[in-house]
Amino acid sequence: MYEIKGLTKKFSNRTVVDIEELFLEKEKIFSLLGPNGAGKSTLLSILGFLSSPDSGEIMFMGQKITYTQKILLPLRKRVVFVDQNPILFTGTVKKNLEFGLKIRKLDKKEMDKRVAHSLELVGLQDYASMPAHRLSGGETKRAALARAIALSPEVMLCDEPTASVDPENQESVNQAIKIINQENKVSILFTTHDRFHAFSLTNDIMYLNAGKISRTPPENMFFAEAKRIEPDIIEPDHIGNTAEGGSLLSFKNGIELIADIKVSGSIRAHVDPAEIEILATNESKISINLLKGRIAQIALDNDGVRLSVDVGMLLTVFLDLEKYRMRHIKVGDIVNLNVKPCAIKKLK
Amino acid sequence: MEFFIDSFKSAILLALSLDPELFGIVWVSTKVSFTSTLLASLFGLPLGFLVAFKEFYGKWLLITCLNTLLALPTVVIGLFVYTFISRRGIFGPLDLLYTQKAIVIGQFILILPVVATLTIAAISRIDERYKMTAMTLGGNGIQTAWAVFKEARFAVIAAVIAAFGRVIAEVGISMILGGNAKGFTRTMTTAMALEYDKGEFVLAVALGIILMCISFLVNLLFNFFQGRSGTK
Repeated sequence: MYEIKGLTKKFSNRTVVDIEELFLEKEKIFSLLGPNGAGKSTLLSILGFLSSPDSGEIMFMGQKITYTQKILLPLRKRVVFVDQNPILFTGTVKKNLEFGLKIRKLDKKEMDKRVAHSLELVGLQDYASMPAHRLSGGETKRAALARAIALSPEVMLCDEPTASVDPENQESVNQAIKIINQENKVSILFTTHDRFHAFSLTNDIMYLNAGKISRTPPENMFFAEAKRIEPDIIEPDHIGNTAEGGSLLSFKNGIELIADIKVSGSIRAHVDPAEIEILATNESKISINLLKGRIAQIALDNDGVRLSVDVGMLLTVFLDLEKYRMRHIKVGDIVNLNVKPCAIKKLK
Repeated sequence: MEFFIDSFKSAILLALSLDPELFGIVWVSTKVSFTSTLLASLFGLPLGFLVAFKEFYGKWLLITCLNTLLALPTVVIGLFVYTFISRRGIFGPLDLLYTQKAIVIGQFILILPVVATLTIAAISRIDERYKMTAMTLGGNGIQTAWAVFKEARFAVIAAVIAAFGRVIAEVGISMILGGNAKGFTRTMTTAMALEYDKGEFVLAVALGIILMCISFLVNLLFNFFQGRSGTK
């Protein structure tokens, strides 16, 4: 779908996007994870042919992109960008959905069919005749998504599609994304800073940080064999919900951790780096979920540090700057880690 | 005070009597003002739209020049156009001086910057995301521009109404380029000036009342559209 080489974009001498090479296959769902200000929206607007890069080359479906209106106009009919804070035009929700369809000169019957189907996909089937400016923030996002879906594009670029959508409707947005990918073969690239949202939709996850992109697997994602454990054998101090019980997760190298999730069988688990406590070796007051390891790497993050600790597998621990300074930790130190049972989540 | 009240009473009676001379003057005034507003809108709206919509070298200089032209006195415009259309002027052979066309030309120059600058302000207030949205939905230049224009339509209509309000009340251009010829180029404002010179206050006050009524209606419309543009 996209082949990118040496792509850069700067805003007043600050490099926002700097991608050496990237290849995105068609008909798949991709997620672009990254913190705020990582360059996600800028990259999406470049891929949506709404802004041009400062340098680099983009091939779209085998076609080399040159930034002239003659080339860009037909491309914009194939790729639709849904903004993080989308705008709806004055008029009804239906009028908004018809905007792009009229440009594509579809007949009325087909337009009505697509409008109804798209609105149903995002759970707004009863909103067609409602003035767009009366919609809430979340509804506006869903209406904008429906407006893009109605166009049946080859590629949809969604910037934080579930941000500010209430939890129950987040699921309808996710379902809509899955359905249009599976049924209409629409390639989708969406941005998020929620890794669970990313993994709930796709395994093709890219990471963008300070404009640089990588497909390296994320930190603290592990395969494990899970076994349910009953509430009575769980120590209340360690499991948040003792009445419900939890699971014993066996990782490679014989590492075992108790989680307060009810799962069994082979699972993919994520251990939240912020929910791992770091203890000095003489602080080992607890007996379960205690892992001993050596600090392999220390990297500064936005508002803290990320420590890579070798406990038999490489575990990332996030420490805020204050805690980090208090502990005087350095590479090579031996530490004990307390992995809180609530830190472990099951991934798709 | 008694003099004012008497003049006012007589003026109202004159206005209500549907006096042909009075309404002839009102008709000329409305006609030339409407024509010049129409022409200024035809040129000013696209000009304002283009300046607001496009990025180009010298944009802010152009906006500054347009803003400066807002302060141009009507007498200066009158004299300026006069030099072109008087018998010795470059357009002298066209015999435009002391015609309604001459007033329209002068008024056009007066309100073209009004329409253009208010349109620039109206379009500039529209969120950039409207443009991006129309573009990503497949809109070409004209379709995108139209989508943005529709979002700014109330403020743009208000710009046109403001321009009409400006020309209907001006006197300098109509006096210098129209010549205040009875039945031809006599407008409400020039007639009022003349009647004042003659000491005939009744007709002047009657015309003043009608002018104020028209201005009031124009302002009502202006506020209505301004309000719509703010609350849509």
